[in-house]
Amino acid sequence: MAIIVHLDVMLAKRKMKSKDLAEKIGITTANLSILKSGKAKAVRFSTLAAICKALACQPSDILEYVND
Amino acid sequence: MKKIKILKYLVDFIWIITAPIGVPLILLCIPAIFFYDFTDLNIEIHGIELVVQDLYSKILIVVFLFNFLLVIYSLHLFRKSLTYFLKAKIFDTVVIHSFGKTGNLLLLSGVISVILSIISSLYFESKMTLEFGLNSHLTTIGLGLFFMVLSEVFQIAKTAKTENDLTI
Repeated sequence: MAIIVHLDVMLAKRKMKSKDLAEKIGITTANLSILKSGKAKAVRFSTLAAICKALACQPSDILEYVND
Repeated sequence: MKKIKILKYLVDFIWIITAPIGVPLILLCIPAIFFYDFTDLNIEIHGIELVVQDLYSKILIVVFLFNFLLVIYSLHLFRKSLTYFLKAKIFDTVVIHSFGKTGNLLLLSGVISVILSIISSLYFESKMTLEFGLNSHLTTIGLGLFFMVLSEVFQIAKTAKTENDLTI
């Protein structure tokens, strides 16, 4: 997929566990895992905003466009 | 769900009265037609009286019976889809394939019955009849096309559902 999710990198930088982030932003760990693995088809702005707030980062820190 | 249950009971009832008796009877009749004399037997299909007299008429009757088997099989597939509906597996691949298969079978059955109707009317009654309006053949063809469209619609819905499920 052209969009790469760097959520695991940000989690490592912030020294936060997936479970804690999932609890903070109010989604299940299964859904967070889908997002981390890049299997997600779309991300809601509300979810993205919640992730950015929890990790104190910008959307560009999490998402990256790569030309296939 | 209540309406699906009612439909399932209805389809089950039709299935019970046709499949256990109809299918073995047809399977027995197909070889029997070729080996026994059925000249005195009056068979009427789609308003045309069929007289079993020669090999050609026997083949026509066998194709009529085979066509009936196709309808019974499509009924079985529809029953299978309804079972999945009751399990709340609406957009399952089995349902989509069953609808597609049901559509194909009903369309084939409708086309076969139109051709057979014309041939048997020419052969047994020596006349060519053109029927206008809604008859059983057209209904079967229409139903077949409806199931084929339904299969495609369900395929689109399945894709939309998958995308929705993968939206975080």
